[in-house]
Amino acid sequence: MNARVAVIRFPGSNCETESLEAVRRAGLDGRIVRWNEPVSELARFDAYFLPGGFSYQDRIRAGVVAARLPVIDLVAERAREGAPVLGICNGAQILVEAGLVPDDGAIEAALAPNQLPARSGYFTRWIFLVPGPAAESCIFTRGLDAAIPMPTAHGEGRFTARDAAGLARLEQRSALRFGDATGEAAREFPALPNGSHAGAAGVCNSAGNVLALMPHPDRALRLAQVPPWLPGEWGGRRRAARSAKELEADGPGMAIFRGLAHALVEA
Amino acid sequence: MTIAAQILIARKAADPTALTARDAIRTLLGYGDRLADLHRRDLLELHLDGIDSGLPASNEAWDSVANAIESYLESTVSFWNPNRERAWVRIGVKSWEGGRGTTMRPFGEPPLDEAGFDHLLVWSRDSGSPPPDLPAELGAARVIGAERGELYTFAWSGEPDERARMGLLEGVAVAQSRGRGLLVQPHYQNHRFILGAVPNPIWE
Repeated sequence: MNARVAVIRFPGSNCETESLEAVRRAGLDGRIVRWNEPVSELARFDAYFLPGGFSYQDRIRAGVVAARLPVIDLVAERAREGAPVLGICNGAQILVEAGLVPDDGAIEAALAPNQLPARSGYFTRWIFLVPGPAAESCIFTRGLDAAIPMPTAHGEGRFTARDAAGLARLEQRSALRFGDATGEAAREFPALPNGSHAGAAGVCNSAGNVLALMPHPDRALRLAQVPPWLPGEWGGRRRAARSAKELEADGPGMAIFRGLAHALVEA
Repeated sequence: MTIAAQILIARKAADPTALTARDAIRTLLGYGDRLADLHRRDLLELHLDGIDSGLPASNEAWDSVANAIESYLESTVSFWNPNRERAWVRIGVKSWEGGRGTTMRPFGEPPLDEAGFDHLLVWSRDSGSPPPDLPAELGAARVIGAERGELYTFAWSGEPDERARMGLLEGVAVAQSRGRGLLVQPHYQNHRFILGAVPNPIWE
């Protein structure tokens, strides 16, 4: 029997359909579940996926209200037991506001409003991600060794912490960083779209099973979704693809979901 | 001596963020009915210098500042929407015996200068720049600084003493864990508790 993945729909989620498609495409048994389903039902899943969107309309701060829901206590408990947990965009904001990333417990980081010297506010475009120091210890990113392109779209995605120790922890736990097509780390806008500390785009817990990722692998599931003008290997693949079958091949975002599937099979 | 103009912006209709915060505090943080009500307003505080033009003693100088702020509010769309929101302005002077407080555009509850309400001011460490269309001079005063934040106003059930009220405020303010704190993200925001009347200025 395939591993079961709960895609948790909060009030205001808007990426649950493509998130479900992602886990199913990776060969997993995905299901969309509401945030208020009985805990006994939710506890039966093998992994948890918090999709993007605007839970509770981003009121107070992005992700903070959803992070206080009983379902997140259950997700935290299952994460402590080793269940994989993936939060994308608003899902990442929920994980950080819940204190599940960088590590379970106190809230040790923030996803603050985008802020760069010459740019602030919401920003959307295709960016490149490169492996960070925690890539090999994170089940979602293990084995990644090249730049992968992905769409990003957020106004509050700047990983930060209030003190040097917290910033060092974020840097150490970065599984994915903003970069360029050659694999170099991004230093400035637009390759670095939000001013995130150490260019962090995805931060993983020290156990390696909880990843908060701001860009959207769920929007890069098929090669057809990659823009032909993109530089690097993926842009070249897209330009070379001619047939519908070729365009239906895996896109770069599937690397994250294949990593999840691999970890669940191993478990 | 500090001269400041506080511009508060509030929704004309119910504020969804305030309602969500109130319900989250009651149900998810376990405060229940101890939290009687919660309001939220955006606050822009302008720090002014008008010594050379007669402030704070001259009534004419005061009126020129008040009129200039009124005109600015009627023309700008940079930080409020007059179709959806109301603005309230309070100009004040600290450390001046003859201080005159000017209140314009008064509206609704809760008041800022009465006992019975407590307040939590939250602001980003990256804020502090004035709105881009704010004139460098407002009547007789020169704008020398600006701060922006959100002002949450709390009414508690019963009559908790000052120490108890501070404990309640601390419990809802700084996000420390899933079960404690909500309104302040300490990794990029600052905050200040205000028991009772809101001072003018708040930032110094």
